[in-house]
Amino acid sequence: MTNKKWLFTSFLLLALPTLAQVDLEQFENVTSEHYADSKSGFELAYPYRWQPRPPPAPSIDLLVSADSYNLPSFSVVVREVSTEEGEFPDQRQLAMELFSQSLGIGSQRLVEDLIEYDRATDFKGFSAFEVKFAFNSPIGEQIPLQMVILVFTDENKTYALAALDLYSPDSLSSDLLNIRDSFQILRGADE
Amino acid sequence: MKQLLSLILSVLVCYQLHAEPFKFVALGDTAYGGAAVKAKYHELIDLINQAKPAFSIHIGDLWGAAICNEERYLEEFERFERFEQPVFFTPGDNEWTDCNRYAYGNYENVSRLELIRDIFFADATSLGANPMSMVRQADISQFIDYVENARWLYEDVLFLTLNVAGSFNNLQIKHERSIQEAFERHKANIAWLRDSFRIARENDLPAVVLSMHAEILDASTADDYLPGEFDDLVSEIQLAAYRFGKPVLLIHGDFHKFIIDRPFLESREPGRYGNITRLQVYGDPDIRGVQVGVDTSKKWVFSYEPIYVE
Repeated sequence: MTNKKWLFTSFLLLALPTLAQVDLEQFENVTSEHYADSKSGFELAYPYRWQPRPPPAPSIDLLVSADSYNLPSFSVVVREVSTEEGEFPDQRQLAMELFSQSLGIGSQRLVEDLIEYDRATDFKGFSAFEVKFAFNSPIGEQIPLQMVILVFTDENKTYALAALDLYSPDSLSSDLLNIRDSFQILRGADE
Repeated sequence: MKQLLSLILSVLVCYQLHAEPFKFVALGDTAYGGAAVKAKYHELIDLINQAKPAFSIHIGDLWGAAICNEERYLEEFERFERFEQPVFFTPGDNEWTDCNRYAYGNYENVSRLELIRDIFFADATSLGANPMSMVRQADISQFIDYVENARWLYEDVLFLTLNVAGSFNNLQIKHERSIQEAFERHKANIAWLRDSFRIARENDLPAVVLSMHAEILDASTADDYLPGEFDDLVSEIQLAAYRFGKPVLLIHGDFHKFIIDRPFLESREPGRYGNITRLQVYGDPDIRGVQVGVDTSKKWVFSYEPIYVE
């Protein structure tokens, strides 16, 4: 083999892709990052998003939600209601309001109608309202959804919690049994 | 003559250094029942051994609704010894996030996770009769508890596991410690995901395989106008895959239904995440595995073949 052929063959071999030398033990904790793709215009920034977010609407005195991580079986929105102790707010209005907030519903996610609601008092210390909705999806479907509104008083204030079941109907009823304790946790997380 | 020998040697060296096609087996949600079901599972393991994959990945759920006592963990740990090739494991809900249920023994979930870590992740190696080494998040980062989050490289393909289990990933509102644990683990998982994809990008690796137990896509894709419990993680995977730009295989179980699809093709931005393929493994009562072929010279890298007992 001539030197030229040897060099040419060696060049070809070197040009072939070879197994990468990768250091798997070097760790970088990326807590925030900004990335922009000039071709597509796609841009993103991701700090951790699991932290509770501030109330989206000034009319809400207290909003507690793990929406950014999303509680597993339901999302919870707490609404401090300005009513006398023991007096129930208007269920339909409250349901609409809480439902919209818990989903972050925008203009294309309007609640279509309140189908029905049932009132069941003294549900483990709460007043509970089970309501069913249909709303128009972005592709025009009517989606039936079920939620439970819980009302209770704490420190002379009336709170309403909307529990929208997103995962398993079975889990909802069991998890609600301890929602009062959970409320304290969520409120702490929000502060 | 000397040059010819050098050339032959170079060819041999380069041949060995090039990524070769290989196969691994994915399985999970195995053997929920009693002795008969375990026997069938053993038959499956025998078939896997005969197929001689490079390794297997068990995505969790080693048993069904059963008491989460230490004996059961030890029994399943020993059962992994039946695998002649290495087997990597990531825990499922039946091993820990379900253990506070009555049928599972009313344990504190975090205590079961600690037990899993002690038994299954005592060393930085896979399980099986011939274990492979792996890099654990706990050993190289500030997330010192997460021995179960691992990564390894095989023929230039990066594999990683995340501890994301079904049954709400332990984010159970009635258990404060569970909520705290879930939030902390989420931070660790996201950090591990981001860093692993950083490595894949910086080293121009041809593909990434991400394994976990939970089905995280359903709520995020079927009803994308509803907030899903795993939206945050799904978004992270989408972003990581988009930036990576090469084939990404997400392996999971939990729903016991064999699925191979590209779950984001029907999303509002179908082209953006088209490089993500999802493999949901069989689950009890279908005690089966999926043999995944990996050929980085092919455009889509991965191919699939069920492997199961008749």
